[in-house]
Amino acid sequence: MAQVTSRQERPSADVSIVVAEVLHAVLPPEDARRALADPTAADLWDSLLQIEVLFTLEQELDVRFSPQQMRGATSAAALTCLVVEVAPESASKAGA
Amino acid sequence: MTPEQALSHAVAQRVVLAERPRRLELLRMNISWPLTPLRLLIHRSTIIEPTIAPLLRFAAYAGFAVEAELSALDHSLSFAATPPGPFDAEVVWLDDEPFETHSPQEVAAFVTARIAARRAASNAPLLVMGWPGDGARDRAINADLEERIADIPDAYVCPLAEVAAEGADGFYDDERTSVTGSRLSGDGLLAIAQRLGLQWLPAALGRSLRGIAVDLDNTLYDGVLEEDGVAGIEVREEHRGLQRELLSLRARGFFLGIISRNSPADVEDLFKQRDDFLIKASSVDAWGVSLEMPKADSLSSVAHDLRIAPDALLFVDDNGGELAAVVASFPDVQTLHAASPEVTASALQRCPGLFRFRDAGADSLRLRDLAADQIRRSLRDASHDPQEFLASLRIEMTLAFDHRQHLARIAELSRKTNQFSTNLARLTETQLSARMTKEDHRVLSVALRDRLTDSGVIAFLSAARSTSKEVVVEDICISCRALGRGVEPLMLRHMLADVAEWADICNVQILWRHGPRNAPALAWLRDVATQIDDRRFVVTDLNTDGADNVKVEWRR
Repeated sequence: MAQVTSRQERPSADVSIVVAEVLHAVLPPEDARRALADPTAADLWDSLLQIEVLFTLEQELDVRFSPQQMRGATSAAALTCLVVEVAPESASKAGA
Repeated sequence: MTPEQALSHAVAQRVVLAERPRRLELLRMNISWPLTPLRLLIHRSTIIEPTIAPLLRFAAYAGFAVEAELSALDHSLSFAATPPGPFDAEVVWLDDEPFETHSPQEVAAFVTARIAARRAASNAPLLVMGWPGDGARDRAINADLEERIADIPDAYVCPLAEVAAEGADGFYDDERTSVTGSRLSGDGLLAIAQRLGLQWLPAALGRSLRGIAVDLDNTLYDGVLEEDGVAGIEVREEHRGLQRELLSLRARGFFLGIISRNSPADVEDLFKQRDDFLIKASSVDAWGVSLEMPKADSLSSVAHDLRIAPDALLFVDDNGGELAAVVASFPDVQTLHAASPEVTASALQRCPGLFRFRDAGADSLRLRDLAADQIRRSLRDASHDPQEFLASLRIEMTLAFDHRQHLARIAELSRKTNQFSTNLARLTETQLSARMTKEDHRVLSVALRDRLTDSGVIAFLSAARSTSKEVVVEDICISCRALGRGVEPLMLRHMLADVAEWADICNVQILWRHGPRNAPALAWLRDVATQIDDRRFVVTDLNTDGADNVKVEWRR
């Protein structure tokens, strides 16, 4: 029987690649490595780098985060969930 | 740059010169070409950190490896906690909101006073972010600021309002200020980084081009002239847009040259017969058209005709191989890959070297001078008597000393002159301004006009006298477009005689340095002076006879 992948799972896997690319591009190499080695580890980068990460993600995925969302997503996993939450259709395009 | 680096630079062009650059592409850009280190200090009163990473990439495209330091947030511009310098350039970036209750004059006066204070402490070019709005108040602030800042040497107002206008509603993002610390949006900050890195910093540091040399086939039209014929090439509206952009640059004083591997007769027919070509033959200042000649040789020929160095040209071509081949011969030539006419027209609006903060007057004069020079050469060839030829031109030479209105132009001459510069001192506006105020220094400038054109200021001399009754000339520069007119010896004698009289001595020492292109200056030195050591010549013959054909006067 073919395995059915839920719509939620497929976009998250694709978006997480984009999030990883952005973290690698914006953060110092060691910080990016640590953030992706443990995607749930929070506050590994400072608030100014957080803004750059979010600006880059917004542009790459053509989304816009609210002020509250910008404050909350401070780990790789949280960023991935945030993108899926804000624009699932953009998350789908990210995997295209 | 090597050819491989030039190709890598052409690849980066798509990312860097885009109308809407993408952060991720910028951050992942491969930079393999040579860069000049640049220590940059940004005095700021607002969060601007999201501009820094993109700024480094934009500046890298323009040839700079920027090391940026940010001041603490400083609303008063006290410069109290300034990091130790020296710096190669400084930016002053204020949040405009705290000034909203002040009149435009108060704002401009405050900022100018702080810039003047910083000028006294730093020799670096100072770039001040203008006010971003397009309303009457912000326009009044910017106009007042530009007028006041113009009196401070090497200080410039960055036209932030232009960037804001291009971004329209997307420039600001007040909804998220509490999180980002800035009223500006991510796109707005990125657009500022682009202008700062590509245009404003290079312009403040004297990186400027003199002209654009553009290819024909598949650049200014679709098709190949030799194969398709004059009637067969296609000029789309996008090509006319590119031609409009080139003509706009020419109107601002940049030379326009054509470089093409085509038959000169075919190209002549093209410009005669195609009414849909916006660029007319009369708008082209130099032609490098040949079926046989490599484009590098054509570029060299165009530069020679324009009396500029090849690396003062931007070479535009649709063929990456041609760009690489030109760079192989002239590693310092800037190139632009003409991927499509609309992309090229847009790229020209952001290309480094094509932005000026203020016109020192020379750009518009340069084009007229070139046309007049061709007439002078024809008259000289037709004349049998050099003295009669000179007399017929009715040349007027005007000398001035410590003339502040000439400061920007003298700094440009010091920065750009290669052939006739005795010491290649490369004095900045700030350094020249300081010399003009000191009693033991003298800065002479020479303006030239004849019945054909007014060439403006075309030469300068900077000298210092010591307490031991010596006078040392630290540099003499003559613009290459003034060379060959037959008045250089007279001009130089008058300048040297003046500094000797000023110092009350009968000989003048001249510092010299051997450079890659200043053979004409050194040849003159060997002709009129005696070398006394490996850095100095001395001139003892200071008479100013021989002015019969030239009117010489002093501007007081």
